[in-house]
Amino acid sequence: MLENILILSILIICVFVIFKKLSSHESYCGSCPIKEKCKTKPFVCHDEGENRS
Amino acid sequence: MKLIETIPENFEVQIQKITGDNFLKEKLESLGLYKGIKIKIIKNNKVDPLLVKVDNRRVSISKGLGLKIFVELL
Amino acid sequence: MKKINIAFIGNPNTGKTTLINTLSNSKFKIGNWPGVTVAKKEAFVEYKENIFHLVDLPGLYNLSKISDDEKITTEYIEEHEPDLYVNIIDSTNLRTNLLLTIQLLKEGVPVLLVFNFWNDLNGLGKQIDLGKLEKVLGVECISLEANQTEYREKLLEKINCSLKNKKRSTKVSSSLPARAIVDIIVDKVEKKVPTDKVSVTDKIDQVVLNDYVSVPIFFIVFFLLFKITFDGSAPLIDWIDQFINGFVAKLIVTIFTSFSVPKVIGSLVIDGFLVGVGTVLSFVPLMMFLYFFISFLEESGYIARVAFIMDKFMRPLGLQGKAFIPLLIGLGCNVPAIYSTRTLEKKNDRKVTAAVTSFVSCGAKLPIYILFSYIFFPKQAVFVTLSLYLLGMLVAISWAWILNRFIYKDASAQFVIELPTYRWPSMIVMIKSAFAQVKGFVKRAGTVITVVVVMIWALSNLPYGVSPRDSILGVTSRSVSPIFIPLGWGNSWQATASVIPGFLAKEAVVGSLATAYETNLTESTNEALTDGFIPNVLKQCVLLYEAVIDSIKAVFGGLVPGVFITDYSEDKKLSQLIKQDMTPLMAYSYMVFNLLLISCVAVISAIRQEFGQKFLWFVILMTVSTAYVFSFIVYQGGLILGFI
Repeated sequence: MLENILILSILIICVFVIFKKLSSHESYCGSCPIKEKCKTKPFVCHDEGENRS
Repeated sequence: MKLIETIPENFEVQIQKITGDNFLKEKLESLGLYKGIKIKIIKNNKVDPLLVKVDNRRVSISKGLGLKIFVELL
Repeated sequence: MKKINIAFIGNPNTGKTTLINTLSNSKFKIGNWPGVTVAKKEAFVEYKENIFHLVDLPGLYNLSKISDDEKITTEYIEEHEPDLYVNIIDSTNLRTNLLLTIQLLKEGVPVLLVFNFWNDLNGLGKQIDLGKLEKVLGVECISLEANQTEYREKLLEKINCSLKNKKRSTKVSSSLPARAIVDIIVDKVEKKVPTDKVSVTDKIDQVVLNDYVSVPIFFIVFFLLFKITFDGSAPLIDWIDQFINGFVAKLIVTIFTSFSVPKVIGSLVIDGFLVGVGTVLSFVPLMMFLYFFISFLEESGYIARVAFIMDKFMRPLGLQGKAFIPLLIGLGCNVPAIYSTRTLEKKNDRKVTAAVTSFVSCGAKLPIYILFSYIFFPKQAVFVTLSLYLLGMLVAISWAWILNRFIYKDASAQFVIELPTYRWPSMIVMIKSAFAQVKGFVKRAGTVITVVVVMIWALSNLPYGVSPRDSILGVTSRSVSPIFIPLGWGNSWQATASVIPGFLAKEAVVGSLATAYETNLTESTNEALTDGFIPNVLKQCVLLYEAVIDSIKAVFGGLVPGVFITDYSEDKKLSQLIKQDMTPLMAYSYMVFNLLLISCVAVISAIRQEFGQKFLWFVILMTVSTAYVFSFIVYQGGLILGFI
């Protein structure tokens, strides 16, 4: 029983970590040239319509 | 004036005029191709992009829309 | 000691990196400029009373702020205001290189001109009057060969002097456009004698770009590259595998047993966490080789020729020559391939290329093909595997055509690219570059992959103590697997169960199958370390040494990729169990499914980073449906044709 609780909590931690990682600035804006200026959401540089050409 | 696409390989020409897409024009210019410059056609066949030599630089230009380079044979 | 910021600026391929390498005695660092593929190189060099902080800016032709490379440079200039700009010039291309110089001088910044490749001038019949140029521009000039260390002292001294005499007497009038100024100056200082000599680069290009020979040469080059990559990395991957499972795991078991740590924690650490870390580390050798070769191709100048040669094949698909390179890189690993799409200018080109790269079979999928090919098609294993690679390429090409025709209807991108002079790249630069890239990958994807593997462990161990069949993972797979019955392999819940880890990391498929079938592909991880700690450490060192030797041998060995020569007799038990559940046709269908399914979490996060969530979902939908449909066609079609 204790083992199940442990495993379940590990699972929840994992899910949390993944979400955190995927919503970080690095994840959104890894390819952003002005990364240093843009640390909090809404991430200014992340623009679906941005045309870099 | 002739279009650069009509010049066969190994001929030298001088650029007279470049029209079209400004972005590409600027790119060409920074690579050394602009009005008055002498270049040599290295490769000009039906399938590959155009390959020219400027100074000691080899530049490849895709054929087609957006860019027209007019030249005079030397 | 005073810290001085010195920026190295110049056209691409002028030898900036080589110069920094020489000046810093190879003690330079490679990092990442965000947003571009160009690596950030910097170094600290102590000289007399100063510490020079050398920063290598991305090569650019023009300060016009159009491409990302240029934006980064102009922003760096604005933000950091370097104390000195060392402008490196390719002496053989004065006219084109000076454009940037004049633009810099117009900005009014302190500049030192370094004329590289000075010794090549003679062979081209050219002469440059450096003294005259110094007078005309009002800037100090020095000529050298960047890769020769005897110039190091001379250049450092010159830099030091330039810093002291900060007189800014540029004689560049700002009314004329930069290129007009360049024309005037070049006419004054450069003399050219007509010569019939053909440069080495031109000679090589006559062969490499030859209408008939270019494509065969290309195939040979890349076959060799991939053979070396796969064969060279295999012994190292094996070593990492046995190091993690045969040494570290046993060590942990020993420690845990002596401290009576509960079994569940032992399992978490060994079967979960350690397997995750092992999976990530097993990427490393392959990526080191791959990034090393990518670096070689880029630095030598051949990659530009590849884009040129392949352009004619890419046009009918609505893409351009440069789009071919990510597809090629994808054969090693899809992740660097996605990032390398940054070299394409148009966003839609990048999107299409990235989407279809997902169908290119990467190195991680190879173990799946090997396992199933040897079980079901022992005599034709090589052909079966090649057929899968070919299928992947065909699907990629077809999707590229469809996407460009119906969805992203842009006219195919026009381009202007330089085919640089061929140079023999520096070993150190390539190794450091590969190292930096791999480090970046491990940082980016490492956490995610490890966490995912731990999640799979958790799901297959809940409730604790039951067999994998009855765990959450097993129960879910069994209820989901009917979906895959039309594809032939749905009756094996173990195969279904392995698809999910496979979705997250293709290396995990074979291991998951082993877990699901309750065999262990590697040695039992419940054994403790025998023979004591030190002897085992020594044994690991010996094995590592042998792995390196094997790697070198494999690289220079025969022509058939060693992966196929290997006698795959590793796990008879797994093979038997799989054979009971599947027929050859089912196996092939399963391989097709895995081939076309998106490779791994790392690719997913790369696509998300580069193109956003919406596009990611589109790609996932695209790959999942394609994988399903093709697996279906293969199985049902095969049945109709009479295969089993």
